[in-house]
Amino acid sequence: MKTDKDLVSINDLSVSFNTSAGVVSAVDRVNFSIRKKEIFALVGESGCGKSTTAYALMRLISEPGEITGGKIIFQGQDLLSLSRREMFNIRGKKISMIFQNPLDSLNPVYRIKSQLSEAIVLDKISKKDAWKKAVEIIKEVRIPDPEERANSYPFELSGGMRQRVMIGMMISRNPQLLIADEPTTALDVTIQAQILEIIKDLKEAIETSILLITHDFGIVAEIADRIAVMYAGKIVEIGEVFQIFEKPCHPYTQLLMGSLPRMNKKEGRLKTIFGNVPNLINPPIGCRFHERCPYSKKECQEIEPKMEEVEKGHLCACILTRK
Amino acid sequence: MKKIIEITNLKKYFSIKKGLFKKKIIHIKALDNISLDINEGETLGLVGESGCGKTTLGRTILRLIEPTSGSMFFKGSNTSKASGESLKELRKKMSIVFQDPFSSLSPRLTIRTSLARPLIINGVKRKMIESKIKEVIHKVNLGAELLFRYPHQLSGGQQQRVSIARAIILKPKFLILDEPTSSLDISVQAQILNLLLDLQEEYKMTYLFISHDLNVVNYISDRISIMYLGKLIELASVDEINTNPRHPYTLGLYSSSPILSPKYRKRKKIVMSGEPGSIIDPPAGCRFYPRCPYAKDICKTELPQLREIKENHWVACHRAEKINIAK
Amino acid sequence: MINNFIKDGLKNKTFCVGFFIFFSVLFIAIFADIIAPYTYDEMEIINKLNNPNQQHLFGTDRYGRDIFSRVVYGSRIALWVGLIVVIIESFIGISLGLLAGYYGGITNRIILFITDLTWSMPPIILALAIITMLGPSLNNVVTSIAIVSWAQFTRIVRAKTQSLKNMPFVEAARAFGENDFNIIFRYILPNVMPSIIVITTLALPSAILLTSSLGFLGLGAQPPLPDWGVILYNGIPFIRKAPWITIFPGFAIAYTVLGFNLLGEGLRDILDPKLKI
Repeated sequence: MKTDKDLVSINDLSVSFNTSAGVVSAVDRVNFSIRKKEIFALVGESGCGKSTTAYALMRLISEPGEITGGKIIFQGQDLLSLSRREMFNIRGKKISMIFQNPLDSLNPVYRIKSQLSEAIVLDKISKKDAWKKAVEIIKEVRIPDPEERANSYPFELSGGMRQRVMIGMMISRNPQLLIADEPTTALDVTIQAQILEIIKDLKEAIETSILLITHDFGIVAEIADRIAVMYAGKIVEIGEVFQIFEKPCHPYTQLLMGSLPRMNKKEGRLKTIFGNVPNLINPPIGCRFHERCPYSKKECQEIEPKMEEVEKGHLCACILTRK
Repeated sequence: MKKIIEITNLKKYFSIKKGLFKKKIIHIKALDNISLDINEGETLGLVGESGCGKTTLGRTILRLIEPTSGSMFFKGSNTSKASGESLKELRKKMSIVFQDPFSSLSPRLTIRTSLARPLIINGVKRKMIESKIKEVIHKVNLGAELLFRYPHQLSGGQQQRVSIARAIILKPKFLILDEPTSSLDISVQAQILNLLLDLQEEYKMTYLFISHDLNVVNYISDRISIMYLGKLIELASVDEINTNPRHPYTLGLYSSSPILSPKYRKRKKIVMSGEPGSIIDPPAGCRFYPRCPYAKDICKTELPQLREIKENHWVACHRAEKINIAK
Repeated sequence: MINNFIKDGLKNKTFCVGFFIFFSVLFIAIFADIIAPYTYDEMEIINKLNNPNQQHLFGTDRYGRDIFSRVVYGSRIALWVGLIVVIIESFIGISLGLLAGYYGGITNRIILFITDLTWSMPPIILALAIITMLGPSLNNVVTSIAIVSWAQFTRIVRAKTQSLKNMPFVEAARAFGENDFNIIFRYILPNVMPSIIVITTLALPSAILLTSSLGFLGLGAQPPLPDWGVILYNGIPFIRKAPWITIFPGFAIAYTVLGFNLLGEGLRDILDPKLKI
């Protein structure tokens, strides 16, 4: 269901991994859209498939994984049907990605200046101009002494600065969509706050949409506009940030919200979810959460719940929401 | 309130010789004059960012790192000077749980062996060992079938439970928890936090809970202490720290820390500029001076001492009374 | 754990070929008495320097000794010497590596210094020097190879120990009172084992090759012991007239060394990712 406000629309996306133990259904018929100028958070616990979904968006899934179905509509085209060359022109230019550990993403033997300009020159700008632009970008991401920093090597910068350089690099070509995979997990709280401010400003300044992949509900509460909650390869709930936090609809989301430490122990214990994440090699039939759901009924084991709108902009995949 | 741990003027300096002829010595002041008391039965949260020294403090209390100077007492016994048999006795009463559950267990030992070792080396009789292991595995809500498995066959949450089981098997009175849930998923974190609270009640333990996650610390602590670059800068009850922080760094920290609800996202945030300084040969005055929006001249030259600004509320700041918190 | 190991093993071609070769050499060594038609020092001067024929599969040497039997019995020397050498050098190398890695400081510097000394010299030359000093004999071969080769264990064990000693599970052990001895043997050593196993299987062919080299230079086993290198050495003067005296032991050396190398590489492929720390 694509509207004009949508920047990218993911339809029935499925990704599986062929391992020696069997075929892992890591992402199963996932549907969501990211609008223009919004921060969309894809949240879930480890193994839920959120990173895999992000990588699939960039067509960076490699052996033993493969995209087994679905469409990714971006600017009128299905990304999954593009040739490698066409996808190459999109990656880095129209859709960019920053990762969790900036130290791993920057080449330790090249100066910051050269790494930043490496991407810029692809737009047919002269090397000299690209270097100038690189310094400007460093200024934009608020690194002090930009000229000096531009001449530094990655190891001379702190974690926070490196992440800012990463962001600078990834937005240097003004992408429409920036995918941020756990961008602040490795950073201290105060540095994290600075990075989140930069990400928020990007939305306004260069009109980039951001797909935020994270397990940290704190940063989601701080900057996300809309959220999709994933569990065992499926999306169980989508909604605006206030809807998800204050009126969570899916039992998994409800339990997850209840397990967040939002008060002091004097006010009671945290909610927990008994059981374990199901094996995705032979996922349970019906709802993938039914084995751990406190409201589970017989139908939950048989019918796979469809996403239904419970209020404007708020969708939930649970047969019990009909009530 | 009885005190279980008393730390006075604790220092840990790492000296590194630098330069071509190894003449120049630089001091990494990981712990710089820490004085702290922990009350029996409480959970003291210890908060700070990387390089603040919280991890070093935990390990120094247990003598995994040797202090440079200062004293530490456990229920009146001097732990900083203990050695040999007396150190071994003290180690039975204090224990630690680490952040990464997988690397907290030797990959080549079965769960059962990892749990048995503390008992064996402390002279517990053969017959008692099996029953104690079974007892503790049950207490952390794990099944006995896990005993003969290896760590890599367990999930992160299960590994952390085994780590906790090993830490409590000798029934210690004081447990240091060093980022025990930072590597875990939210739902697993909730289970572990609940478990820790249950165990604390049952075994009547005192906790030192070290973490960088303010939400978790606010949940589990009775009192909270804040460290910055090797120094203790504020100490107060959890309510007091949240409603009336008196150190500019605490203010900045709590302000920039994400709140688990979108309701507060538009709050006025004090986003601190710059990066945390260095603990290598730090400057003379207050360590926070370069980043402090309230700084005055005195802050540059004179190191503020930890003082009781209000009952049971300690701050190390010259300007603590003037801090204005606009909520 | 063992089941998975066997499963992985069978999938890895290098390991399978290596294991087959290793097993065949072991088999021949154990059942040498049954396989070899003659003893290794039986001389039939009448039949000296015979071509390979029905009675003498590999031909005979200048004393009429059956080359086939000598090569077969030679496998015992190769394996036996290899085994003893590896046991000695691994014992020295692993102990020094553990001490250097765990205690650091001066201990580390001293051990590192000695290790670098032996490691930086070409093994064959150093072995030559040592055995020339001690005098040629099989025992001295063992000694000189052990001295020359223990460093390969120390380097890896030291590095692994250094990284392991800072792991939380070691800190936890110290926290509940384990002493240094227990920490090294119960916690660190078992986790260094996979690396040690791999080095051992690669150290064995090196030792065999070095033994044969020394034997070839006349500095190894003394006659009439059928060390493969010695057989080769004795065959050189007759290389035109009776090339079989050199071909067959040469082939035996190559076959065995290749086999152990493949076995070691296969083992490394199987063990490394699994038990990686």
